[in-house]
Amino acid sequence: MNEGPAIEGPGGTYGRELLLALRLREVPSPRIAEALAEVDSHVTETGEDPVAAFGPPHEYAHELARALGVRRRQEFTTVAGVTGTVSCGLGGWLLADGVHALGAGTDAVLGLAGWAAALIGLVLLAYGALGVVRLTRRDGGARVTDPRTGADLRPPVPRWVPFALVGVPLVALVVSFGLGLLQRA
Amino acid sequence: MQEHQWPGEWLRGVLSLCVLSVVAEHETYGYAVAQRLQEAGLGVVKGGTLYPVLARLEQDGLLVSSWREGDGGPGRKFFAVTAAGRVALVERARDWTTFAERAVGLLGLTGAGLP
Repeated sequence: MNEGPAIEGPGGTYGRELLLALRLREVPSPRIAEALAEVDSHVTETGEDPVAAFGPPHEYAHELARALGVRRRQEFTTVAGVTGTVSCGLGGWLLADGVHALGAGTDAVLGLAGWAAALIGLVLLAYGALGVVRLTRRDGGARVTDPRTGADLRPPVPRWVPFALVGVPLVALVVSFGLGLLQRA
Repeated sequence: MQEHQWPGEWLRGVLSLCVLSVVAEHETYGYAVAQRLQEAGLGVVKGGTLYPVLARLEQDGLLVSSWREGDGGPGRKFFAVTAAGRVALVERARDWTTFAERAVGLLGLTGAGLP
């Protein structure tokens, strides 16, 4: 008989990999939650190893997605995803260039004033970021909730991630400004 | 009891119908369905094969599911047949039986050594 939860709780290794594989196949979040709970419930009851009972996570995800007839909405997702990403990239670059120009006291790209380039960059960045965030909110959003307990089945985000996501760009902008200042000297 | 493993492609052809018939007997859950199929001599059906079949039957409106508290364990997902499911079961069982009889008939004609 097994000593502990067979997949270390739904957030364990098999559950984590299955969640990711099902997401990649664009299975809706509520259905992903059902699948994770089914696997957990089944292997806990039978004492089987999840890979022995369900096969490798990516194979099981393939079988399940196929049985459900999940169509990958590639066109919409790709266009929206590319637009959002391009907007973020362009916006970020304009923002950095504008901040650098402010530091150096010169014009930014295309003869724009530093603050103008920074502002346009910020707007493009916000637009792109919001677009990408909206994509994750389709199909009931990104939440994967255990139908048995209501618990969130997604693996926890490491503590340092929010700090890095905000901190790194902020540091980069400050460095950009600083490099501009150095150019004056 | 000798555990016979039938060819996968045979089982794939009839599994959905068999699963539907087991659930139509009475409300049940995944592991119990697998045990019922094994008792019937159809071999071992793994979770990775069974649950997609149940998911498809549910999606097609032939089954409904609900989570219930287990005995001291995590909840169990119970499946029950719908009215549409019962209709489909009767039709498909009849068609499958006709099909199987014809296959056996052919084997008899072509000298496969069947009695």
